[in-house]
Amino acid sequence: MQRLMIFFYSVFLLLGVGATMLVFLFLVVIRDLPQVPEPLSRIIETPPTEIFAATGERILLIGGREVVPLNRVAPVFIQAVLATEDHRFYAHSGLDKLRTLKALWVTLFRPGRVEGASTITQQLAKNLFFSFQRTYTRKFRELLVALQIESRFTKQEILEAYINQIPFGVGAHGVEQAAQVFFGKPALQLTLAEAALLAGLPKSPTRYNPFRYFERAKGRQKVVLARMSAVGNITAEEAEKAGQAPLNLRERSGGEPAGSYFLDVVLKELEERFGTDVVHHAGLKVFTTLDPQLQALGVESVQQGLDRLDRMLGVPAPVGGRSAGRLQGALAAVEAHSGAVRALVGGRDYAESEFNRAVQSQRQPGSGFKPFVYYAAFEKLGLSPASVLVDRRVAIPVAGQPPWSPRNFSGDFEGPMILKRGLAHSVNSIAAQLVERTGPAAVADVARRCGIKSPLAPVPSLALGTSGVSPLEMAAAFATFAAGGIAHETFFIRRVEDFQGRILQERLMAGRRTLDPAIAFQLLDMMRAALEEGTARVVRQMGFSLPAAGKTGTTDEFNDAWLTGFTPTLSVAVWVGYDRAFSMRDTQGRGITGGRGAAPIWADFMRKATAGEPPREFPVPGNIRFVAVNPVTGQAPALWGGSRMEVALREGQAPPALFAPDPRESATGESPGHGRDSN
Amino acid sequence: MADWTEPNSLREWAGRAFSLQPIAVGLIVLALLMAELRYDWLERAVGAYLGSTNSERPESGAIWEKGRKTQVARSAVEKLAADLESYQRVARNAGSFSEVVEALAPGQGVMLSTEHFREIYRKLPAGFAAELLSPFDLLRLVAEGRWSRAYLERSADGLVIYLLEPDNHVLRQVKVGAAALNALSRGSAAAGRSLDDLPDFQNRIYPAERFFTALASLPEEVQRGLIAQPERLLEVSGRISRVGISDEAVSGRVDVGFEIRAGAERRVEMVHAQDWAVWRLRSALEGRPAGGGAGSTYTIQ
Repeated sequence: MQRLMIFFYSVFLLLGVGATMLVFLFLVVIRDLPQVPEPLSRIIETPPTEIFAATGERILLIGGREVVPLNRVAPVFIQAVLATEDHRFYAHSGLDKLRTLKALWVTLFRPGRVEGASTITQQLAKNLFFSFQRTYTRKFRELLVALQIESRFTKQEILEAYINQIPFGVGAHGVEQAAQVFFGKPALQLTLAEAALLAGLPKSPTRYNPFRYFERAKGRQKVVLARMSAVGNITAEEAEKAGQAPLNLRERSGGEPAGSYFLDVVLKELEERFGTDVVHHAGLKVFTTLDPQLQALGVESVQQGLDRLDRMLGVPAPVGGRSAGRLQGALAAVEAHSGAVRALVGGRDYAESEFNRAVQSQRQPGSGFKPFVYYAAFEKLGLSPASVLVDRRVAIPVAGQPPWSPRNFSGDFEGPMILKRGLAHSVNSIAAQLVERTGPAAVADVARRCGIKSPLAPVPSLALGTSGVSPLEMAAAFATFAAGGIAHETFFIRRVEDFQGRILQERLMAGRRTLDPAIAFQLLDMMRAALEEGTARVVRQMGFSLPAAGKTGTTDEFNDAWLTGFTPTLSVAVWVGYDRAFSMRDTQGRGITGGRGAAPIWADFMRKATAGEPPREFPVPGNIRFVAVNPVTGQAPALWGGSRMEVALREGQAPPALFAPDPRESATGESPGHGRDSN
Repeated sequence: MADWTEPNSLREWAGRAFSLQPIAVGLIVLALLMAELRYDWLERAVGAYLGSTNSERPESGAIWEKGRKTQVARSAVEKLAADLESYQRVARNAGSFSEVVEALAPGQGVMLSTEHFREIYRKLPAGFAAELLSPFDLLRLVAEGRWSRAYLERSADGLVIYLLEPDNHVLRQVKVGAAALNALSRGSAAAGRSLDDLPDFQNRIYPAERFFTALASLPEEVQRGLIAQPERLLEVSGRISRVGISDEAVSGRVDVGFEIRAGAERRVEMVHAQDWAVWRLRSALEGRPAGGGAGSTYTIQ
């Protein structure tokens, strides 16, 4: 009897204490409870910063929301959201008591299980005012705000606010943006299957990202359809049918916004110029140089090329999306006559690795650096493409170190040859002899004038590209040759406007003449030979036929493979390699060169990027004339038979003499050649 | 009221528990609970109370933070745009090249329409204008129809003029050095002053009559080298009383200042003369034989 009474009084006491504590908590909590903005639509008023491609297509929306009224959203989506998140939404006043009691019961009495019972209004309150920290105080505050929202606003207003701000993943906030991102259509046109898929995402946008985990997302879609069927929105047959309906997800690589590597650079530049808060909250309009079509082609070419290389290298397919140690690639495409960056691929898959190899990495360009060496030799020593050097073993003294003695890729020495052949076939000993004569500082100077900004070590091996550069730098530097010696700074942003359309920043496309046009053309002509008959001839074999020039690059141990090349309008650099210094060798142990690794990607990209374009020749400066010479002697070729090579000579450079003696008989390192008298 | 005593037995306890008062209280509580389940009166009451105290509570939380950031960001952009607009407005309304230059601080630039640029170009001293950009070049650009705007950007060491195509490709880029800008602005500053106020003219100020007598003694080619556009001087109202020649030459040109009196007012009109022609004029003015440059005190920049 006494124990019963003790129990009875204890319960009373506990209830009393509980009620008092609740009132006390209420009074304490409401003191710093956040104020609810009125009208509620204010939450979605922040103007978004919009980033546009050069075509006018919007490629990114930062902050802000694509707000749509409820009548511009497919009713099936509203039904799907309500069925999944809060099917008694229209019946409660912010708190679903039955569901809360059930959740409390499950949480307390079923170990290991936690059940949520947040209503849509509570979720809205949480998203608007609170952190995602899970504490009982936060839940209580969230509930109080939800009650206030319910008492002040209509169900329609609450639902509209909710569907316009929930996160769906991959940067999509609100149903309109989500419908566009995932299905490329407005929210009003969503089908039952699409609506169910979208309604399932807010539970865990990353886990159910349909671009990456399609089957998981499909499973979640079926849960949503089952809920819709259970609450009577649709029949079981309709649910079954919708679950089997094909889903046409918008084409996206990894689900990231188009050109994410490009956008990263744009955002960094904007934040440095205007500050992070302005970029994210001021509603800027940013007009970029990106060509979405070229960007898509760039991504496709790099991914396909790397897949092909994976097969050559015998690399197993990635498991579970892990990218550690996967072969990587980068592509940078720059408009030759302005410096505008039209496409930028910074890696194999942005979702796997955000490190932008096209801009941030500094990889050795190997022989890709030789055009700067040859230019320096032509400018400083007065040599010409028909000048002859002997491909032979060289030992260049280096202060404090053993002499530098570069080897040729083939391992052999071919003897005398004209410089045009030396560059086209990427003969290392020729480049080494040239840098010995010009000095590495002259080579570095030419590279700088072309737009290379990375640190360049003034050592002879600079001639063979031992200083790291980025693909974007290489593309910009080769664009200087394409533009007849006029260098342009690369840029990503054409214009920035504020939310009222006032121009805050505008780019002028001014170039600087940094190279002699005639010498620049001579180099261009020599690089044409690299594509026609030299180390990059695979480009022609793959069917890219428009006038173009370029140079491959491969580093020691086959760690890096490059091709940088250009047409009269577009300069493109492609790099492939591992992030860590790791050799690329095929299953037979043969190394992957620029010609095997990067050139096919370059050719594939250029073939698609220029499809339908008429052939456009490089303009020839007035003081250039073409002369056929013997590629060994540098002199006039035999009248019939024998090999010949056409070279571009500047005004004042002597034409080849007839019937010169074969320099292979000469024991000296250099045979008579054009421009020799200028040494 | 009777003192409360603890019930001594279960029977007494039950009797008390099921008496009218507790049952009434229980029913009331039950009714309240039922009403709450049916009508959510507690949630509504709490919501209404919170609604009534809404304005007294802090603007805190993610949405308010975002609002504040938006406000700060908009203010920053507003200030940036206003600053840009203010000096651009001044520059756009400028009637002369000097006024445009004066409106710009280093690092600032202004976009002008082709019409505006041509207007201020026409007002430049002939020699300076030709040196800046050949009028024939300008004519060709106009005829080609690709020139759409001009962007003038002040740099630490002068001014850069970009003549632009519609898509902002630069058709012509002209750099104007600091010395040339100084000479230009000095020409503009001279207006409204006397030759006596210009230090580098102090050594060579001549009465107008003596100047024009010497000028008339020179061949027409030299006269043209001195005053390329005499009609400009004819247009001014007032009488030329004195003429000064600057000690400094900039890019082969020497300032010649014409002091004009109109009533009590005095002002100086500046002409940029060719330095070789000035040398011939000085010889004529000082009665020395014309010849080489010996004795020249010009500072060449």
